[in-house]
Amino acid sequence: MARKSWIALVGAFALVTVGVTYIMGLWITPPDVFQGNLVRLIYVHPAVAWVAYLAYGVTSLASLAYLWKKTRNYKWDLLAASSAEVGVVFTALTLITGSIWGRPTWGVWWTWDARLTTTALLLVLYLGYLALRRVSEDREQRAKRSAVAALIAFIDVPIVHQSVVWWKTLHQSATVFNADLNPKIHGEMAWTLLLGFLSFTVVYVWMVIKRYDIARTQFKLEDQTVERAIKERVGTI
Amino acid sequence: MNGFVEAGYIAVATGLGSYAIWLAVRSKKLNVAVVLTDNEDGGQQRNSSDGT
Amino acid sequence: MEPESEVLDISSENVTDWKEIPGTKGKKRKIKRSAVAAIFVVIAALVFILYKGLSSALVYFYTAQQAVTDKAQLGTSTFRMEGVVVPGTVQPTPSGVNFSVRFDHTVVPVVEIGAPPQLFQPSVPVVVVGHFQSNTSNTFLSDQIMVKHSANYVAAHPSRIKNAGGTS
Repeated sequence: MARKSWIALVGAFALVTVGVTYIMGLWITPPDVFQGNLVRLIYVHPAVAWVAYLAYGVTSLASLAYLWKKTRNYKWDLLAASSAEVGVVFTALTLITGSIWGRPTWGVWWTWDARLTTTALLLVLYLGYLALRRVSEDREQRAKRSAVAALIAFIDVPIVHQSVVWWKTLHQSATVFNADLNPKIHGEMAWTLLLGFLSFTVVYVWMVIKRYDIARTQFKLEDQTVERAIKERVGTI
Repeated sequence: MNGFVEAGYIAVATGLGSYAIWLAVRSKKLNVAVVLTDNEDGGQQRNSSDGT
Repeated sequence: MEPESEVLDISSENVTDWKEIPGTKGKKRKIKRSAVAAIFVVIAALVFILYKGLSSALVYFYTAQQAVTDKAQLGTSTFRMEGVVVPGTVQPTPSGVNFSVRFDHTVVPVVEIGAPPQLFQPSVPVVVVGHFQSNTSNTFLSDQIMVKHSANYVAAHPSRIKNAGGTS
């Protein structure tokens, strides 16, 4: 019960912070000299992308924890899967908001520059991870295979982040997590941007907890039903 | 504002909102299922003991 | 698609006469087949994205300077070219807009067919898609302008900054 109310609290906090981010982003912050009101998309797009990185980071750590014999437990496998699924939602939203931002600023919905291409790759890699999880019914095999797949897919994350440095891209370079760690944005705009990062991170935490609980309950339910079916069959002999 | 900004904000709200609702509904249904099977099992011994 | 749905079925009325183990017999095959199909779709998408990436993202654009230097090699093939719009050169035409882009000291005149994007203006860095008019002419014929804005964000104030793009 206590745990349940903690989760509800995290959910409420997520709702409030996202709400404040939206109000700040849509109405309180000033327009940009160059982009005008279009700059307001900066309060959601990079934050959503950051959560995708974070989600895949958690998936990788959990996968490592499963692969390492000392900590091997199906819990890690379920956590990895949960975080990856949430990550896919955030990656899709990164692409969607990026596209919506690109149309009026760049002039195109999509272009095959390195940042966009590697991000699309990221989405497809983790969709592949989720698809792979459905192939095998054997728990151990599934856990091992998908842990390895998760680690391979993660290689793309630093590539996505560095793509704007390594290649010529249409996409601008990092505003916050740049090489000199010197945010190129100030005042209210900077605070709202950071609030956006915080609020979507809290949303992520809530979603992963919920998704993990679902996965764990299903896992137990499968155990129980198999057990019951065996009992019933043995009973009828 | 100009349509694009609103569209972006709405996309995020709809995307995250519908996933959140899906999670909430799914976990509620599952908890009902757990209660049902727990009742079904009655007095028989079970290997899971933590209450979810 | 969702293997969870079988588990969920226990919550409905058939709780007592339910004897199948989920994921056995035909059902298991079906899940596997759709999952394998999904993986093939994913692999196809991966191949497509990698193809696009390798053919376009590695050298996303030439700077105006590089384009002029490599003109003999580029000929009249289509590529993307980057440069900053030179102030005072922008002239709307019936079919689009004429202007020049500059990178370092190289200036390339551009003839654009089609409407430029909303944020197109003097002094911003742009990427134009098109080709040189001919092997002898330096004029670049473009059918698309993309505005390459910077990662700097400044609250709008009366004193507008001159070089919004900030790349030069």
